[in-house]
Amino acid sequence: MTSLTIEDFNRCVEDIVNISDKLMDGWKLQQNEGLENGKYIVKKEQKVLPLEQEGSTNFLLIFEYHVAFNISYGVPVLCFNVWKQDGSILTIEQFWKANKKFKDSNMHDTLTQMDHPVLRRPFLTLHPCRTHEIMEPFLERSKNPVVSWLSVVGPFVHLNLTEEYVKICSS
Amino acid sequence: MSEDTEVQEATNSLQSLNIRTESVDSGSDPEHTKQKVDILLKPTGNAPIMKKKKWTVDSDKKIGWIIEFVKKYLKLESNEKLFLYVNQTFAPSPDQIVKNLYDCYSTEGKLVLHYCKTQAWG
Repeated sequence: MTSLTIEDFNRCVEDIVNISDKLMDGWKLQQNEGLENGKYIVKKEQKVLPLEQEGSTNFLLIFEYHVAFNISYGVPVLCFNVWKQDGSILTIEQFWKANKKFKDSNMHDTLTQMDHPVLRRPFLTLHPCRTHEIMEPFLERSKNPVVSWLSVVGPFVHLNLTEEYVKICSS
Repeated sequence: MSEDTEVQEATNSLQSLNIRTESVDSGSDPEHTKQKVDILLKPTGNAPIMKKKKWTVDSDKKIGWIIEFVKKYLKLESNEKLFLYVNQTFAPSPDQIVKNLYDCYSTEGKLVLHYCKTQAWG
């Protein structure tokens, strides 16, 4: 396997949802029948993070993560939006300030507000153009390259996978 | 007079405390802090090779520490990203302790970690 096909991607995300169902981890499969890359998975999670611009007080935030397939790049993309409790959405700058994992990185090289590959609505997205480089080392070995890739990029945006997901990569 | 004795008592108890901590230190040292594990670092993708591949590290070091170490060794730019993979299948969390990974994934007494670098993200 030198690149991830849509069929591979669909199989991988279905595996993720199967595991998630057993763990009640919250990943849900969504589908837009009219599109070639119509399948994607969604997870909503609440987190408490300090937002700098409003003092250092902690805020309860709602994260909505989407994992979809980007046809142009031929790679999975991780996109997400974050809301505060009053329903207002976090801007890319606000999220950047609250995130300590990207020290030394340039914001616009890393995160972009891009159209969701299926929904065509703007989401904060980890830049897809280097994703292939990240995936290359494990594309042939991993039984689930989407999980392997999420284990690399997820922690940067507060998304952590439990061991149960990682296990299916090598079994 | 009574103040003097109090001071003396305090000093004594402090000394005994010191002696105790020292003995605790020397007692646990060989067992805990000195425990080391062998790791083997292999490049994948376009990552440059390291002249020395086999390293011995303290077992309580975090993966994040190894990532920083390899970045320094390879003299990467600060904006370049380095990722470590276990079994060439997943990236351990930077907070993970080397010993845990070694216990689960070592082969023939070594933990093999593949590393890959990218120029930033985008």
